Formats: sequence, C-alpha cells, structure tokens
Amino acid sequence: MGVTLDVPPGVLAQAGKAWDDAHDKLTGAGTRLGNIELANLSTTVESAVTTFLEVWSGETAVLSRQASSHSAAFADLDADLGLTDVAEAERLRSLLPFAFHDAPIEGE
Amino acid sequence: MSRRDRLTCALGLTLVLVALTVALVACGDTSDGGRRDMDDDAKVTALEDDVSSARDGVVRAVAAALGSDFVGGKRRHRWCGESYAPRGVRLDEHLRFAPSPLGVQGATDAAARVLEEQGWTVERPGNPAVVVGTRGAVEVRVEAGPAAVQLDLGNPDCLETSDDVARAFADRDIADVAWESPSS
Amino acid sequence: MSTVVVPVDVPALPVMGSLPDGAVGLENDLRAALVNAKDVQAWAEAISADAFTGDASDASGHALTRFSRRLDVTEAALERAVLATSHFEDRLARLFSQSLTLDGDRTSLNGDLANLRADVAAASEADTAELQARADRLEARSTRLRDDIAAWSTRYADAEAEFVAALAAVDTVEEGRVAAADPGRVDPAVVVRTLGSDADDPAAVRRWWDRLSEAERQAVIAELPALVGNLAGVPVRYRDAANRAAVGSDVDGLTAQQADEPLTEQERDRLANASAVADVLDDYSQDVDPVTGELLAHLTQYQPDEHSGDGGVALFLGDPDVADHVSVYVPGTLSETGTLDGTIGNVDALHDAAGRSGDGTVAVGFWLDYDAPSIDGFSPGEIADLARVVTPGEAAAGGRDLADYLDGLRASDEGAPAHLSLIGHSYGATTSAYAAHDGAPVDDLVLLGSPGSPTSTAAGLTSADVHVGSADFDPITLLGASGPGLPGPLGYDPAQDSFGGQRFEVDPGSYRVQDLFHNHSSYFDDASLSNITDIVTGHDPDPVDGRHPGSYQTLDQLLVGSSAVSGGEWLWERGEDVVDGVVGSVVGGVRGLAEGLVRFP
Repeated sequence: MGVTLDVPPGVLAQAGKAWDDAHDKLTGAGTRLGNIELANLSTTVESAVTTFLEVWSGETAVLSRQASSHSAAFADLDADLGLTDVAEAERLRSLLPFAFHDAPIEGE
Repeated sequence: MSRRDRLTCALGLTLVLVALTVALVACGDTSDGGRRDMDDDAKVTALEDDVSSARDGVVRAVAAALGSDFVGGKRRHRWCGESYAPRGVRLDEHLRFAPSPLGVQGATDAAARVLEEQGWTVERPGNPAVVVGTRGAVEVRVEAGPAAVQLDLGNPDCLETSDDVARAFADRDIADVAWESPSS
Repeated sequence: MSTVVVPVDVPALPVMGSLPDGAVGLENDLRAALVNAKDVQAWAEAISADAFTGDASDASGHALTRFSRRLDVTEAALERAVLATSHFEDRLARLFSQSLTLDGDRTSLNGDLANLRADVAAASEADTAELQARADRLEARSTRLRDDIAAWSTRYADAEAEFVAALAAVDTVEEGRVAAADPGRVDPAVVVRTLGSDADDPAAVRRWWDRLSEAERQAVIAELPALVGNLAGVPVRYRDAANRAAVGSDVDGLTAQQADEPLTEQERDRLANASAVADVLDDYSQDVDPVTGELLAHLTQYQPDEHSGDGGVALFLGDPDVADHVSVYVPGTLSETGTLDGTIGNVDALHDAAGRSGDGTVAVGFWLDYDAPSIDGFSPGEIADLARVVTPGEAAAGGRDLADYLDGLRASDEGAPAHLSLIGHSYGATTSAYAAHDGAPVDDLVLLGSPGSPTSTAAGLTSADVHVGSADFDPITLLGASGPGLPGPLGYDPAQDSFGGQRFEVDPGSYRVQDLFHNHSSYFDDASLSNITDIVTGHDPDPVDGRHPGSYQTLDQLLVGSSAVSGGEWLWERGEDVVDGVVGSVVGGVRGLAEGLVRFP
C-alpha cells in the first residue's frame, strides 16, 4: 500500500514544471558561462577570468542537475500514480513551497 | 461623392491593388524563373569572387601598408529592398584591424596610395578619416581611427536578381571572415 | 660647432593587453548568465523558508530552501563579477582615451625632435645657443611626457590588478557565501522603489538613474533587464547592456528548454525573436566606433512578446547619447523582429553614407516596436493582420509609443542637443507622422513612400521640417493622392504641393506593373539615399516640385498604364516563344522527314 501527500490538487504538477523550468534556465546559464570566448583581454586577466568561470559554471551545472533530478521525481510520481514510501513523500514535500512543509503524509 | 464613399472606394482599390500586384509580382518573378535564377546565381558568384579577390589583393596590401593587424571580420549577405520586394543582393564584408601606427592621416593617405597603385578609382569624401576605392561593382571603404582601422568591401549598388535568388542569398548564415596572417 | 644635446625620441606606450570591448564582451556574457540564475533564484527564494513569515525553524530540512540559498551564492559571485567587469571596462575606456592623447603628444614631440635634429645638422656655430635652448625645452617636455606615460602605465597595471583581485575574491564557493551574506549587497527591489511613479517621465528617469551608484545600476539591470532596457530616459549604453542580457538569457534558456520538450507558440515566437536579434548583434560584433573603440551597435528596445508575437525591437549603429546627428528609421508593412534584413540594411547604408560626410558624429537606428501589419502565412488571422494596412489604427497607436521613445532619446542625450531626424517608410511613414503630430521632439521628419498623413498640411502636423520622398511610380505613395485636400484610407498625401512639405528628388521607378513594389522599396538607393543623408546631417536635400492636380498619374492610371506596358512585354515575350515553337516544329518536322527518307529502304 502506498502513501499520500496531502496537498491541494495541481500543486505537485506545478512544482514539477517549475523545477523543470529551473533546470532549463540553469542549463542555459551554465552553458553560457562554460562557453565564453575571451577576446581582447590580457593573459593575466584571461587567467583570472578562466578560474572564475570554471568554478561558477561548475556550480551552476551542479544546481542544474539538482533541478533536473527534482523535476524527474515529480515526473516519476505522475507515471507511478502514487508514492511508495514515507521517505519518498518527505523528499517531494521538501521540494514544494515551504508553505507545504508540514503537509500531512498519510498511509503505510 | 461623399467622403465616406471616397474612403470606401479607396479601401477597395487598395485591396485590389495589393492582390493584383502580389499576383503580378509572383508571375513576373517566376516566368522563366529557372533560367533567370541560374543567370542570377552566376552573377552573384561573380560578385563574391570579385569581393574575395579584393580582400586577398588590395585589402591585404592596404593592411600591410598601414601596419595594422587583423582583429576580426564578418561577411553579410543582404537583399536590397524589403521582404516583399528584395530586388537584388548586396554583399558586405566588414574587416576590423588594429589602429595603424601611421596615425589617422597617415593611414588614410597610405590607403589611398595603395588603392591608386592597384588601379582603383579613389575618392576622398568630406570625412578625412575615410577613403573610398571603386573598381567595377566593388567598393572598398577604409575608415581609420585612433581605436581601429575598419574596411568594408562589397557592392554599394544593388546587384539586381530575381526575388527568389535575393532571398536565398540573404538567408545564408552570418560568416566569420577567414584571414591568415602573412607569417602563418 | 659646439654640440647640441638633443633628447632621444619618446618610445611608444605599452600596448594595452586588455581593451574596453574585450571587457564589454565578457560583461555581456556574465550578465546574460546572471539573468537566468536570478530568475530561478527569485522563484525559489519567494517560496522558500526564507520568505516564510511563520516558524521556519526546520528550514534546514527543506530541500528547496537549501537549493535557493546555494543558488544565491552563485548569484552573488556573478553579481560581483559583473560589477567588477563594468568598473574594469570604464577604466579601460578612460585609459584608452588617455593613451590616444599621450600618443598624440608623443608623435608631436618626436616630430619636433626630428625637426630640431635637422636644424642642428644645418646650423652654424652662432645658432648653437638658441638650438640648445630649444633642446632644453623639448627635454623638459619629454620628461613630463615620460612621467605621464609612466603614471598611465601604473594606472593600467592597477586596473588589471584590481580586476583580477575582484574576481579572485569570489572564485571559490566559500568566498561566494561571504559575498551572498555581505550586508552591503544591493537589493534591486529597494532601488527600483526609489523610482516611485516617475517611470513615464523620461527626464525624471534620467535624474533617478544619475543618482544611483554603479552597483545599484548593475543590480537593477541584472534583476530587471526588461524594465531597464525599455525605460525611456535611461542612458543608451545601459539600455543596451540590459537588452543584450535579456536577449542572451532568452536564447540560452529557451534553447535548453527546446532540447527536452516542445516550446509553446509564445515561447517559439520569443526564441525566434531573440535569435534574430542575437544574429544582428553577432553580425555587428566586429564593428566598433573607430574613435572610441566602443561597440557600434546599441540595442535600445527589446520586447520579444509584444505585438502578437512579432516582437518589438530598436537598435542603433552609433551611440545616440553622444552623436551630433541622430536619426531614427521606422520601417513599414511586413516588418517584424524576425525579418530585420531589409531594415538593418537600410540603416547600415544610411549610417555609412552619413559617416562619410564628415559633418559631425552620426548615430542611425531603427525603431520597430509597433504592430506593423505583417503576414506569416494565409491563416484568417494573418490576412486580417495584413488588412490592417488599410487602416491607420496601428499607426496612431504606434505613433504615441514612438513619440515616447524619442522623448527618451532626448532625455538621455548628453551635451548639446543632437540634431534629431525621424524617417518613416510606407506604413512607418504614417506611424512617424502620427508621432510627429503627437509632439515627437524631432528637428526633421522624412516621409518615404507615405500612404498617408493624418493632417492635410505639414504645418498642421508638426513644427519640424517635413521632407517627402515620393517616387512617381510607387503605388503606395499614391494611396493618399486622391487630390489636394482629399484623403486616402491612411490619410493625406504629403507629396502634394498643397501639403506644404519639401518634396525631394528620388528615382521615379520602373513603369512595369510587376516592379511597382520594387519602386516602393528603393528609397535607400542612389539619389534618394543621398538626399536622406543630407537631411540626416543637417543639410537641405535636392528639391523637386510637389504634386499638382493633373501633373501626375493617379493610382488607377498607374495601374492601368503599367499593366498595359507589362502586358505588351508579356505578349512580346510569348510571341517570340510562339515563333520559336513554330520554327522548332517546322525544323523538327523537316529533319524527321529527312531522317525518315534516308532510312527508307
């Protein structure tokens, strides 16, 4: 028997879409940072810029992957038509707006 | 005839005009379209060859005389008129170079000298930083400044083609200009 | 003779390894990425525990809140980098300008030294004292100049070092956390609130912008690029920065989205518009002002969702805030953000021609932020869109927005007021006439191929000088030419002598019906372009007489007459084909007959 996360209709689907949008935008940002072509800058400056970009394009890519993973969790829910355990329900609840942070988890 | 009647007539006439002209333009452009397009394609190819020859010839000579290093360039493909009546094509190659150590006056003088030596007709317009050379349909415009020397070469006068050829030409992607320095 | 000690030449300045346009390119890319990061962070933060007014003690267990906080660190680092790059660019621009002055002084001094050496070589003993005095004065100049160059070199080195240090201060995640927690971090929402209700007053916007610190400006640009980029009164270089960021973030975000899911129709339109504008910006990425080294193209308006998906865009070649002559071109029917080829070609041709004159600096742009009647296919909606060409409704609405845009250019103008001209073509001419009638602050109004003006006289339209380019065989410009005082569907013909505008010389066009649209799209060529250039640079064009009743072909006469000519040509060409066909048949028949006879056993 599955468990139920008690939130209003549409909240889960909306959250999945929002995380997917976040993934798209962060992918775009990370791609931009990772592909900047430096021109007319000295080698000293280029070196500093390259270091900076490596750090933050990497961090953006991590966040993009997180957003993708969160979005996928909601997509899986759509496919399965239900939550299988409390841990999964808590994870999803944690990805919803904080207003739902204490939404009841029932069943099991 | 009342003002309202006149407006109604004018409105109707406009719609008839738009429909009629679109039809006629379409017919005019496609009658013997295949043969004309082939001729136009050949004209466009000849223009591109002329521009490439100018780049590899007189433009290189000008750049060398000015002592300016190449920075970057773009080749632009445009039609002449509007989307509904492109009329023909214009090719513009924009080339950017580093400032000339000769200064603005020295650079324009040197550019004019090279153009003349290579048989181009030279014009010095009102702007003292600009020199224009013309040979056949191709024009080379040199503008020297303290921050950059820029050359534009292409056909300032529209090369008339069928609308289809003009549209296909303008649909080409923006292209970076390849420039190999003499030492490479 | 005694020896005269002549100082040695002053050597060239050190080469600037970093140039202003290099910093601008980096700044634009960083800002485009920052805009998308901010969009996501704004969504996440608004629904995170940090925005929750109740008990948020268990926030650390809330994954979305952790995500928001982590992304905020990236955002803070990018904010720092954008601001540092902006400062660096400003310093490089000043240093570059100073280097030009110093190099000019150096060239002059070295020239004087060369002259002195020549004079010394030709001098006699008696000249020694005077020559040495000259040499001493030049030595003093040389010393001052060398000191100035050394100081300049130090400033350049400092600029690079401080920029490198600024980036190094946020090139670890831990340093990003510190930046995110900085109490001095600008809150753009607070900054925007200080604008109050002045957003519709370009002069007040300009004063507001001038009061902001550079950090506040950069924060607002990155947070609200759509606001800043389209806000009349904000200086053009900042509008350009904001709009480039918006274009970049749209292309990046929607391209990523397109890779894993279909876009909605609105998103497809937005991506198409953003891509078209990005292409133009890329096309001009190697064009700089040869005097300042700044990028030539300035994107002064970008509204990709406007006008039923056609989008709104305005762009300049040159900086209108500092140019002596500023000209705005308004294209007409079938113009939209996705089809900028003809429009940018006209602007480029005019900018090129005006730049040759040497009559001051020039900025030429186009404004396409109105619902120009257009058609993308033959759906009922698109046909209805095109049918609007015969009503002035969109022109009147567009005219009001255009007047506001021009007010913004006046407000952000620096120094002496620029000479401002407004050029409208076709339906854009009608739109421009409406803008002038609404009080657009222009000095010259140029109406090309105008199908009609809202007033019957130039004096009733505007106090600006009104110039009219109207080809005799352009059918569109005859739409309003029902006669003096008689309007067409879009208003009065401004080429009528009774209108009182100054008609100037243009090519009359071809008298073949299939060329009539070509006649309407040929105003940026030959004599017409030359005359427009004269107007843009403050000169009088070559005048021709306005239309008098009976002195020109009316629209119906032109249609009938040109159709007759074209019909005659068509028959002539087909006649040749018929003759060719008959000859071919006869020759073929004879040949076949001969071959048949030869083969006959």
